[in-house]
Amino acid sequence: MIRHFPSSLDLTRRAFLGRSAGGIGSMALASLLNHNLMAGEGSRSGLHHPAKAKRVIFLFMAGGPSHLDLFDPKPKLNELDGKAIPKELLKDHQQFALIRGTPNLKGSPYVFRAHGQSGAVISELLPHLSKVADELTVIRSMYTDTNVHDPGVNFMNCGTLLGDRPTLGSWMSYGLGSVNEDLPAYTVLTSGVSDGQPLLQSFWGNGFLDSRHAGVPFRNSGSPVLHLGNPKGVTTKDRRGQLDLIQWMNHRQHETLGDSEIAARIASYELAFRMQASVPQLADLSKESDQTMAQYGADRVKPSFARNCLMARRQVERGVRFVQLYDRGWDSHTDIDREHKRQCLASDQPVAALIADLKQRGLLEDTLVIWGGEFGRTPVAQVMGKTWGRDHHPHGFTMWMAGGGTKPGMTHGATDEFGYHATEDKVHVHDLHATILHLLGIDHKRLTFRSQGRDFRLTDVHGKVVRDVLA
Amino acid sequence: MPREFSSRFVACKLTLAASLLLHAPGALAESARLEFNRDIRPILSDKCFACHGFDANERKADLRLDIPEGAYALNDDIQAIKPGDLQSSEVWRRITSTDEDEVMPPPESNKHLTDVEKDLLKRWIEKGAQYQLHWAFVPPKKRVPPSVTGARNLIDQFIVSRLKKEGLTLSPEANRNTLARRVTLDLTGLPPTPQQVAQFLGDTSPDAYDHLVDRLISTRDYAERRAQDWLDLARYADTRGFADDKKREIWPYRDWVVRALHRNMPFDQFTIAQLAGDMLPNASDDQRLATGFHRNAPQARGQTYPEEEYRLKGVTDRVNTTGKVWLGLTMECAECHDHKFDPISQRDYYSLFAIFNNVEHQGKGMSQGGPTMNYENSSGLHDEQLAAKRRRIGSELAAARRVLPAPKKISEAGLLGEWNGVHPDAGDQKFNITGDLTISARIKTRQAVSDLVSKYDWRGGQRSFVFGIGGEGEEEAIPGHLFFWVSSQNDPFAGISVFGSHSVNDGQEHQVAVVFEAGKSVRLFVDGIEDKAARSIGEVPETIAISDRHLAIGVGYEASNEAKAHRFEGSLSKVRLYNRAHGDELGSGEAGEKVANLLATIIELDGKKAGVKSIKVPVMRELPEPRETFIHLRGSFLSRGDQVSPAVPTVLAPDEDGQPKNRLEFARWLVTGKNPLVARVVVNRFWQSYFGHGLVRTSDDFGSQGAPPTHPDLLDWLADEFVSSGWDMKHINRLLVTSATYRQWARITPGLREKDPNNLLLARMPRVRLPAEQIRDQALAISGLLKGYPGGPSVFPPQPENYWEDRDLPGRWKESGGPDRYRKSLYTYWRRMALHPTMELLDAPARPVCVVKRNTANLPTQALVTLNAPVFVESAKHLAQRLLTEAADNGARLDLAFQLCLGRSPEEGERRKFLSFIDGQSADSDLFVWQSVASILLNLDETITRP
Repeated sequence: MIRHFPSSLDLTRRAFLGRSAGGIGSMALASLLNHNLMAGEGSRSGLHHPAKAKRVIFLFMAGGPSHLDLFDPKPKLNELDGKAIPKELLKDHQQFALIRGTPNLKGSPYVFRAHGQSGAVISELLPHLSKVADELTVIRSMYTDTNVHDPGVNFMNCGTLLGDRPTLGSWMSYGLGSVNEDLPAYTVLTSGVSDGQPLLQSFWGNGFLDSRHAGVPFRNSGSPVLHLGNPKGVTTKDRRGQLDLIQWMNHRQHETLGDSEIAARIASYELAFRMQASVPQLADLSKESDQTMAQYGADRVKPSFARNCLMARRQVERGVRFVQLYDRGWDSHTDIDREHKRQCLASDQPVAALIADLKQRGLLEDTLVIWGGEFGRTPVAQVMGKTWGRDHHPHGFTMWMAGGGTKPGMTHGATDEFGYHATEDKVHVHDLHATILHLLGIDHKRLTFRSQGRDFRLTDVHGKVVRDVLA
Repeated sequence: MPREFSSRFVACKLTLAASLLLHAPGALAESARLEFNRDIRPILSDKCFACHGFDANERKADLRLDIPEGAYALNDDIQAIKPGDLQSSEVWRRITSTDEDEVMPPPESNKHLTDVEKDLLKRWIEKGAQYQLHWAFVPPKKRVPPSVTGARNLIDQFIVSRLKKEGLTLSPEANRNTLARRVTLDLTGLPPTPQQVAQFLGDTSPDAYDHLVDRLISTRDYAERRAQDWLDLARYADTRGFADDKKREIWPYRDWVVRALHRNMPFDQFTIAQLAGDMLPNASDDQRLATGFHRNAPQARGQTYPEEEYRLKGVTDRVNTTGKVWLGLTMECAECHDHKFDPISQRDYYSLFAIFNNVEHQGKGMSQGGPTMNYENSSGLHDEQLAAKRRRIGSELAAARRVLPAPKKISEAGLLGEWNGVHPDAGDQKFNITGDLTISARIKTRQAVSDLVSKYDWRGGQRSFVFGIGGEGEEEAIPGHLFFWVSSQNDPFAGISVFGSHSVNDGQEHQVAVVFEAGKSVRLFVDGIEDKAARSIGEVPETIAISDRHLAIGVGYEASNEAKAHRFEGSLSKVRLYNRAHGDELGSGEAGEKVANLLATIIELDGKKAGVKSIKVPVMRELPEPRETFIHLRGSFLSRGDQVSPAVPTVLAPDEDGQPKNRLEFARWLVTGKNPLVARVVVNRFWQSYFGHGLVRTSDDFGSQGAPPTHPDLLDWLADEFVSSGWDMKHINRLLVTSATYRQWARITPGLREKDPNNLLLARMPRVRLPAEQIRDQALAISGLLKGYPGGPSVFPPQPENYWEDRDLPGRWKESGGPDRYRKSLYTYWRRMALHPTMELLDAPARPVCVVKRNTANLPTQALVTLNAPVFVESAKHLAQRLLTEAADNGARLDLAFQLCLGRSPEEGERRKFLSFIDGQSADSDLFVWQSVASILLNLDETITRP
């Protein structure tokens, strides 16, 4: 998670990165000797080409928000509201997740307007986001491989349904290392409506990479990072005294045995000590102004998605490379009006505030913000009594990005007139991954890790950088 | 699974660092003859085979370089490789070309040949371009250990002779304290006690060490430690994976592994039992239990997972795991296309798949699963008294049943309706019962989970009442048993859950009923007999909430107003709903009462006997008619290609006895002793568990992309020794730890670091950070908290509050009380989707797939665990108390503390330093001071590292 003394593992890892990158080999090797050199090089120039983004904030809308009610208006769908879904759409279609039989089309009841100079079209459910519309790069032509939640979240994170591979943040940590001394490179912030969709370890897993590249979940209850606090009665001074003796013994051991892993252990204990101070400072919002708190709509103490948005800004400011925020509760099967309104009410303001705040601080330029869920929702209704919702939909949905070298104020791709299939400039999840890595200065085909005789990539054997969305 | 890079590559790169190379092909080749497998294949495999190898679909220019027939072939007068003639070899022209369109590998492949590699290829072609079959597919040869001095056993002869070639020798033997701690930790997973160390130091006989090893290897601790490695391979966990990640009661399989290893079951039997024990003639329960091995794969449940897709994922996992565990091959590469590096075609893959494709897959939705067997813990069977009592009550019960009168007819008072078969929408509001009710039905089914009558949708926040089988797959529920839930609120739950004590899904017809008397009782009846051993959780509510959901018969709800979950399969009739409590009429009078009481006693006794309820353990069971198996194009379950028959990969195919046609024949084929891979792969993993790395460092890949063995002759010799010893696992483990190689000092001298930085040749013993389980278990053992009870259901030592809840994971961590808090980590509940954080943070794998080698990191978050996590704080405190009680003064306490933690006394400098630390503490509580010392000792690199 944090770079420290090189171990033999580092040596091979670096050597390997260098291998496919030709000339980078010697630089990488040199960097073994100097942490700061690597951090500097990595962040400034990217691994394979100059980086536009240095860090990523991924706003994961778990459950699957409805593209049709938020970003992708379909007049035709509204016109045919209540009619049975055309048969041709169901060609080659496996089955809906929960709907059975032939359901009816359902238009969106919400009003869409064009916003900002770019004229980005956004639903009335997102009034705050509409104000920063010119910062967004909206991709209306996303598609993915599954309509099941957990495989879908896995796929969005690591490119496989089973979630046994490293996630995006892990690849980034592996490829670029860490740029801070006392925080993890990759964190995960969770909050939001508890809707029964669990957060699985695989969502921030390191797969076959070593565990320094796993995401570190920040907790809502207790200490933000597990076991951060000293045991009862042990003061910082006590702990320092203990550490001094531990390190004295470890140094002796190192002198006798000459094993560099001992040096690495000494370093990791020092980092742990620093984290005990830096993480609480990070999580302490008392120094944030009332104005900032109001802008985000967050409480200083009470956990919420809004508070996490502010926390994400504080983390990237302090050199965390990849922050993933989970906002749960988007899985609106049967009462979309109530549930999507609830979700938007809680997330619209802080997301817009995050973008404005990053921009105002000059961070948006090299911070890539990504918004989206594991899939979209069906153009057909799932009706329950008086209310209705939409089922899981993988064939066409919307995500957006902002900052970090994306082209602001643009809308890319399109779905068909029903919002069913992505049709124009389709962007597969692998393509999105390739594009994200590209913005980070990484060629997705060249960031590989050899496991079991094969050079694995985040994008497997797929993925095309979506050039159109690059600034 | 994850691993370090192949050694050849590491070595290559180290040229940059100007290290002296031991293993770089180039360096060796200077002095030695070129050898295709060692020097050339790695280059071709890595740089050329992807386009010019085994995979016919990806092959470019119709050229294959993996076999001589391809490389030498004349194509339009061009010959890729002309043995002995560099200038006529197109390959040479291409790899040295400066033309971007011609040069190989092409620039866009991101592959690049180094000058060293080019030079090797040049000399190889000049010397005649001789090919060899990949070493791992050639059966091990009989190897004669070279004779050397300084060897303790035959292993050392190979190691020392190789070292000698580089002008190296073994390091001196480690001191005896270190040896005792090293071998005890390695063999048992626990540190030696001070008494054990003293005993060893006091034993001056020449074979003192061998005696120590013999003693350790005979313990159950040894078996538990070896089981830990095997369970990584078996991807054993206590949950089913995927989002719902519910409990899977497969711990009896885990205990089987420990038992088998404890009694040193030969590896061939160990293999056959786990892969195909169910198919052995007259298979014993134990043999069937062993087949849990291949029921450990994750299994998705729920309405949204396409059933066939996720069934196939399970079979794929079996093939991949088998490939890795026994063959050391990366079979999974051939799931979607022919293997790019090894001679395994997609057809080979699906032929092997056919062998594992014949296991029943039952149920839908939440009850998806496979065959199970009833398991009762045999530990209580020794209790003669209990057994006698059970026999007596059993015969009383049989007698009482004989005199049961025919069931009475229930009056029709309060009858709201009667249905036959499944009715997803049986009507609406008139079934809004808010008080007493009775439901009865006739069922005949083998289903484990289904709803009989429901107005209950907890996921949709619409609770009312539901009666059925298996409790919708809920954690508390028991598959196949009746359940009834009723709530006075739609959301959250406020009411009672009742679970029946015996199964009703035996395929026989049963009359089942539930009677709810508002505010008073819930009673379950099966065939007119009340289930008095039924288990209730919660309070009987005064009223029942009204739910939006319509009455559904034979099916239930899951976050939807359409009833389509937990659908009943079988025969369902006379489903009656009453708004009245018909309790006593349902029973069969006094005679029925007597049967009910006897039945409850038996169930209670069985619970006592087993220590747990009788459970259903997932095992393998072959379908009577094999499934048809097809090649799945690109691995997609929707695209079927040719149909295939069971077979083993062509490259390994037996030439005489024909193809194995089923799992049992396949398992036997693996362990005939003729397979070139199995014995090598297994002994290599044994080597890895003591030396940190295998002789083949890529212990999960013996294919052409894997690392070649550092000591090929030793590997062959060990493999042969393993087979000729009758697959004796303890024998091989004993050989490894009694070698002089194992007994070396671990010091890395500057000379050694320079000459062999990765310790490929083993001129020293590597130090290994302890696995997660051993770090925790050691702390518990040192402090005296560890409870060594073997086996049984997994336990729940404390974990941070709300750890699951914060992630919305279903279920609850029911923290164990008493001794179960201090059991070995082997017995900690292994939740795949949220491993206990102590285990996770210390690099234990959650085991979503087979893990051949763990990754070990060195992180600040790990330091926080051993410094601050409750189990380590508690251990430190307990250790402090122990020191204060067992030793009289600070000096003696320090001695004891060092003995306990490090297996040695403090050196003089250490003693002074620690005593001055103690004197410098301002706290007036001795306990606090010594807890601080204990915590320091538990956190030393020396403590958490196998020396």
